[in-house]
Amino acid sequence: MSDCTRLEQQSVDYLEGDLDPEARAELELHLAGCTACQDTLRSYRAIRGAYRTGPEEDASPAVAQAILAAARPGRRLSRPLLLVAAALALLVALPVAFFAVRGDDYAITVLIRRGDAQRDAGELEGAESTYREALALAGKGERGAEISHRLAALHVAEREFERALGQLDSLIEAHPEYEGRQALLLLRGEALAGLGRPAQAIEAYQRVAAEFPGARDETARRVRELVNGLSAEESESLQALGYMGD
Amino acid sequence: MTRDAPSTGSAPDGASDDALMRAFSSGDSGAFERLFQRHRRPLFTFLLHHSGSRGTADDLFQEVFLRLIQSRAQYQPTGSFRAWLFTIAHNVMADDRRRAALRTSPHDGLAPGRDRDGAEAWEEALVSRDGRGDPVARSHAGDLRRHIEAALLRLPEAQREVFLLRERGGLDLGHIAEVTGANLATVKSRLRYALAGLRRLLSAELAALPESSHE
Repeated sequence: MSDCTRLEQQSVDYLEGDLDPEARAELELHLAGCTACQDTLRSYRAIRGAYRTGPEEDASPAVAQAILAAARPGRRLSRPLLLVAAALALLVALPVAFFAVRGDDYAITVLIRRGDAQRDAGELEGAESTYREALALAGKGERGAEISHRLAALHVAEREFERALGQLDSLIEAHPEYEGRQALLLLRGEALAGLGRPAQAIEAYQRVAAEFPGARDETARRVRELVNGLSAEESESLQALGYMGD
Repeated sequence: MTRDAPSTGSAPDGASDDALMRAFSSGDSGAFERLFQRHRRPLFTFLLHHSGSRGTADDLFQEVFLRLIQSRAQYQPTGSFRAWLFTIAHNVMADDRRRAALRTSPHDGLAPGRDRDGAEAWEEALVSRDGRGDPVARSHAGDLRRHIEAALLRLPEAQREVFLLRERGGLDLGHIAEVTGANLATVKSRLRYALAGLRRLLSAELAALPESSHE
């Protein structure tokens, strides 16, 4: 091994002051007569010296504030982020014990937000994985329902109707008071239509119209679209069953 | 070991990082605020210079501290709170890379797409920052620093991480080995390759430095 190679290999130890005196003296002896090695070490020192003089950067104030809020369970935020406000709004409705895991709740909100961004960017696989992380933290409560709802919608978008239907049926049964129930029932209709079960899809839409009179226009539109896409045979059979009265 | 983080007892209030973390584990959120103020800038600068994107750095920064908050009950004093904090950061970045890899088409090859985009965005940001500055006030060292920040994104990730943990995290090489899970010899090699890579990428800028700014 040449002395220049040895110096190169020991350069970090030398700069860190980690060489024993004997090795250091040997290296410095070589250095005294080798301009190439002097130049190497000079460059390394200049790089480290210049970089260390740089200013320190800081996170955005909103992020810093959200972190501090997450570490303070029970205290109010002076200027809450929208997403933290959403988490707080949910907390108001939940048992006091929930305050003990506010950190988790915040993390869930962050994960949901990230999953939504992935979904909106068309990264469905990534979104599903992020929602599942959130679900693992959230468990089966209301937040779990909110996440499962997103997963079911994702499955419908991916045309995985069987998976979506299974998830929707469990959700609808387990959370009769869930605030997104109307959307769940509509999704169920979509999943059934996607599975080629038009009669059941129409029943599902009729159920939405019965529970949510304000959604009648929407359900009528969906039924029309569904019927328009059917073959003559299918239409006939549905008519015979009384599903297409008007 | 000239720039180690004040992990024990050097803060004006006298409380060490370990003591503050233990206090936080017991429910003292004020202790967390002090820890946060101590470490937020070195950590954020590390994440920013590693990712090249302020938005990504914000996301990662948030996740690092959320994980810290979540795992406060399991905290065991290790002698270096900062090494523990950067270990969380290392893991958060690894998870982020795994997620990014899942989203990346195999046709994109091995190139870290976000890093490449980040390098370009970072260089643009540097150009605009240079344009805003007072040319008289800009020092050679300042110019070199800005070029280093851009060149860092062109280094292999493992080398960039070791360089930043040393120069921004202020960790000694032993702690860097703990944080990255590599052995000490590997850490030294990575730092050496990082310096050699930067030197190669910055040969023109280094040659333009006056003799006196080399030391």
